[in-house]
Amino acid sequence: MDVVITSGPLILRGLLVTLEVSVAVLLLGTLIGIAGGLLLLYGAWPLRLIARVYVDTMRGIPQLVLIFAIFYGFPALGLQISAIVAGILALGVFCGAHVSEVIRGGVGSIPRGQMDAAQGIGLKFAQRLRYVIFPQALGRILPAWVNTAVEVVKASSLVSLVSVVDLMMAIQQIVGRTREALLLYAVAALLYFAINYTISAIGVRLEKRYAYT
Amino acid sequence: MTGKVVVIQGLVKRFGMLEILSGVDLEVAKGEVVVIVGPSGSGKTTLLRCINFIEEYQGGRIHLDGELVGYRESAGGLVRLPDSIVAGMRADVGMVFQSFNLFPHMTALQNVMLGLTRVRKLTPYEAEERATSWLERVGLKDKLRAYPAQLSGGQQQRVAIARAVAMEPKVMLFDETTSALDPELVGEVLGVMEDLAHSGMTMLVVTHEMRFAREVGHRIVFMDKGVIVEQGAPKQIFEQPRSERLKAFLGHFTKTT
Repeated sequence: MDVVITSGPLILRGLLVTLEVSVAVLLLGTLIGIAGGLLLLYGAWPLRLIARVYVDTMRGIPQLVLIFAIFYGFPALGLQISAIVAGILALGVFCGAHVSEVIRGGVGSIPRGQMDAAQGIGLKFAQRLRYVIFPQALGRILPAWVNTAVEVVKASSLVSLVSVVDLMMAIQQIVGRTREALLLYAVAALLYFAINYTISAIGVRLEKRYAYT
Repeated sequence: MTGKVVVIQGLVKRFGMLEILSGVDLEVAKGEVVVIVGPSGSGKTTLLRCINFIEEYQGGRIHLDGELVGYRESAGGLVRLPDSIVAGMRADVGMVFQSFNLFPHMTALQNVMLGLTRVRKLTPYEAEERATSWLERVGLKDKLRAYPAQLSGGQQQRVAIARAVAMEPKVMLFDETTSALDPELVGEVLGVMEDLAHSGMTMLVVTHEMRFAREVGHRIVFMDKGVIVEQGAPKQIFEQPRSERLKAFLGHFTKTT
């Protein structure tokens, strides 16, 4: 137990990096996902095709391949990029593909008549989405979005492989010094679980709040 | 075109290879109540949906108060207008749907207020006042704060009518507004529509309620297979139908009712 206490600051710093990466990836992924989902539903066909190819490609590639491709590939193109930014970009692009499908599914499941009625009173496209479609779709999007968020937190541990000192890397460094593998990995597992349990719990509360039908 | 609120000329609508409307000409004067009847699949609903441009059309012209709906003329033909301009035109056309289509996440009052605040740009206070007075007029004074799920079909449809008419449109379109209702709820909705007709609202009504058509309609239009087959005053249409198709259509109603 002493190990955990003496390494506390290092673990805490790693935990913060993990949270930082996860939040950045989710923000980036959600922005990409909203754009992607709307293009899949309402885009003119060339844009729809581009969005479809993006979503299907990204969903079929392991996250680690994406991280390595960006981290080792960008410098080769003359673009200097830090490990943490490479990780956020790679996971963000991956997350964006998943969220695109989530948005497409949620928004697409709202009955056609809602859009008709919103058009009927003269709302513009953005207003139709904002006041009529999104509030109803939110309840259907949230469960799948929470799933994606949990996956992102877990996948964030992959950035340790490009030497970002996140929770995973911090723990590994301490294990390297102290050989207390079982105890320390248990601590890591507990912390990851705690983050994800919190996300799920918030998700359940939000879902109840946005359930209309 | 003076005095005509809606002028439709040679309207053609296709879904892919399927032609739904094959050249429809129709004019509706201010304050006129035109009732469209016809068998299902005759294009009645599609005609209404083209008038407020929920559906695009491929041929002909629709003018609303002298303005071309959904397109602008150019040398090469018709060019589709951007959504923001079309939206402004739609605000002047009230539409009531068969399936009500109330916004389920909003109260009755909020449903009526949305267009008033966001499209008509009324202040929340003005919007609430106008929405309340319309909901009272359709007999829902005590349901202002109710959500659609808490209302009967007839009540929901009356909210939908209030939502459309509160926008003070130039014309109201009613698309089989009582077809999804239990028989005992049909009367309350038709009552509201009759009240509107008597108040001088310009109305285009698609319905299977022949009693309503006969008593409230100023003119009956009979459609079949994407064209207008026959039109005239209710008395003439119901008592001296000329075409065989109209006779056959009316025959169904005398048999069943």
